[in-house]
Amino acid sequence: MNHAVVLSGVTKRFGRKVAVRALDLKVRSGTITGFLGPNGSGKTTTLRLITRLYSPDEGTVEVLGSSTEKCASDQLGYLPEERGLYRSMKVLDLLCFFARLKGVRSPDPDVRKWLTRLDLTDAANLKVEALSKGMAQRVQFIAAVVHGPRLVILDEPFSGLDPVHAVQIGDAIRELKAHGSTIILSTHDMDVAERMCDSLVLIHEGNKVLDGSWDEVRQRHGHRTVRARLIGKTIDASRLPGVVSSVDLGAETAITLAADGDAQQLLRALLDQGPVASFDLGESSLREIFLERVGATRMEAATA
Amino acid sequence: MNKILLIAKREFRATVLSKAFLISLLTMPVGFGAAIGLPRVIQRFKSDEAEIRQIVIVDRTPGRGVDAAETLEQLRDQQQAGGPVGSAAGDGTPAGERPAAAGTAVSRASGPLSRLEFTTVRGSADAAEALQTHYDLGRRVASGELAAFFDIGPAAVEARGAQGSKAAAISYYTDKAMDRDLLLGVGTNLLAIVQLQKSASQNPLLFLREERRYRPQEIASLLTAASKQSAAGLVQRELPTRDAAGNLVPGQEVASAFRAILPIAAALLLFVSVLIVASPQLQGVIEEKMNRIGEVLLGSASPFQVLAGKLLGMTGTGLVLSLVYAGGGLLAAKYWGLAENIGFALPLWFVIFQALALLLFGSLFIAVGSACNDMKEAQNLLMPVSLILSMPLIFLPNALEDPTGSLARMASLIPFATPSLMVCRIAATNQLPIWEPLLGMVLVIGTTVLAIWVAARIFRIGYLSTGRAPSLLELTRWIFSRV
Repeated sequence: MNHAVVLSGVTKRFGRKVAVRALDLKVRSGTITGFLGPNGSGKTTTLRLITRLYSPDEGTVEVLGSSTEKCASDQLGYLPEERGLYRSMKVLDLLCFFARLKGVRSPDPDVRKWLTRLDLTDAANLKVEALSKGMAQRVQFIAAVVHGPRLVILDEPFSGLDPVHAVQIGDAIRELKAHGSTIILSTHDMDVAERMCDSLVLIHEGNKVLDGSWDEVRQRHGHRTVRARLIGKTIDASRLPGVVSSVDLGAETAITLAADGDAQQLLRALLDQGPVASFDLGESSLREIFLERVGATRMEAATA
Repeated sequence: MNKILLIAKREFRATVLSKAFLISLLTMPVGFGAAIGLPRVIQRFKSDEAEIRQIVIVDRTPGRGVDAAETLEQLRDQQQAGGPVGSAAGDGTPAGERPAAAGTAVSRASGPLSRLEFTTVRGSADAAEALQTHYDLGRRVASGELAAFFDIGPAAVEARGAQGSKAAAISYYTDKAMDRDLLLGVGTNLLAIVQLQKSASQNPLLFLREERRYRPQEIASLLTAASKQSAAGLVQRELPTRDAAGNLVPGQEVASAFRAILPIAAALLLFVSVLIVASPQLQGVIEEKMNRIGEVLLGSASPFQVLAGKLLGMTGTGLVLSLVYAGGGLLAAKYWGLAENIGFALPLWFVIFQALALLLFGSLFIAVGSACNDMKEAQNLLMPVSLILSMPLIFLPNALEDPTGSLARMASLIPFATPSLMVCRIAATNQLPIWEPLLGMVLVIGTTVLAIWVAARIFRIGYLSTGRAPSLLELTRWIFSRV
């Protein structure tokens, strides 16, 4: 399978601080890849390495088949986390300027098409400083995609958007994917990542903590959890088979099953302890995996 | 290159169409307009008051003299009658057959005569006697009885020799710093009258006359040709004085105001234009950086392309500014009759060095802006750039006094000082060998290329950096480090 982005052994330092450490990463073409990680984890540095804003101290960065800076930046679209718009320019002029910078000779029709699509037709002749935060975010999104890039890097694209326009942008991202673009989506919103992304990368303290499709990640790092309650008794988790951990939540107990743990066996063991009032079997959410992996990395760092 | 031009165009439009720039640009023409228009308004009020000013013309030419007062009064009367020169002069030429442009020129030149009265005093060719006369008249000027007096040197109408000598000069004496009526109304016409009388001796048609000279009314009709004479031959002198021993001291010649002002004006305009456009550019870069526009721009173009685009846009803006200012200044000077023919060398070199100065200092300002998060931080880092920028001011007095001297030459070949100093020297003297500005230009181009390279190295790191501003040592490290 083709890869739009390949990072091999990439390290980036700023003075003594190592922002990204020996990072190996492949982003498949035509997919939506979620970049996850807490603040200061090296996520933005990795994105800037991909957009060529930074050069690696070690390792190689290959983007759209090219490992040199000659790789056409015109084939990349970049939406930064914070708004980067000229406040005194009119929306239409601004978007045409950015599109021309990306090599579009007559950008006006494409810009107008996008403005219509994202409900910004009336804002075409407004100055950027007159826009609301949500409108400015949509304008910034258009600036990133108006030239039809093969690789789109979106840093928190849903920030400041109301639910209606968040759905609009989500649809637009999926449409870009349908047209063959590769999308890297950096977000703190685990629900968005879970819902939209084909694969996920979790970066923490400059290291890649997990990487793969959502199914792979869940299989590798997720757990089945059981929330159970006995009538008139407290659950004694130490006497239950295949249990990794348990948390007494008061009314009920949250039990995490081991990878090879059997839920049916667990239910039988609970019935042996007393009458069962409730028994809910579920799987780890991305949020739980994220928190667990980040926590585990911190623990490893502390004990190292 | 296309991206550089796109960014340059945006920068140029954003600045030139900004309110601040338009206001600063319009202030100049308004200023020039006021400089030209106000005296006219004042003059109208003055003419309403019908104040008559007395002018004495000391005619020291041999024979009957040049009939200057009589001729000037004829011109004044024609002006008040509002008719063409020729018809009032009675030379027999119908007004309609006279070239329109020439008639307009004379009418305009004689316009300020309307509130003046002239008296001719026959003066002696002897310098000592003339000095006494000048002193006496000077007292009358100082007391306000006379507005001014003119002196026509004894050799002023001599056909040969004495050209350019003091004896051939026409001098005017006044206690006013600048009096347009005297300079344009009397001075230029007097020059024309003397020129025409001088040419009379060569005119075979006057052979039968007792004295080969024009009559005053004939001068008026011939003034069309003479009106083309510039005020270059008119010498302004200070009023004669007595020294401590009681001896009369002749009035010193006052240097041409235009020639005196031109070098310093050109050098300072170049210097100020850089400051006017580079400072907002620095602020703009800081704002772009803080607004994260830089991140978007660098996602589309290389740091060098962004920097070069900004520099070109800024240079265009600076050139528009300085050309408007220079053009306005020249127009005002021309109106006052002060603008001499400056040729094409000075404007050409001015544009070249102005563009180079904008590129050279602009790149440093942009580099500083990219390394800082606010103007306060920028002010600290700007200190060395400001010192370099101010370097020509140290040498400017010397370049004005002795433009061809060794110190001026050496200083004007220091690249950071070259633009202002070389332009100053070119304006101050026409004795400058061509190799000097050429060598200066080559050195500035080399330094500018180096400055842009350094700026680009700082810019590629600074434009995306956050946190406290770097020290000078850190900036040096940036130049040689990877991104």
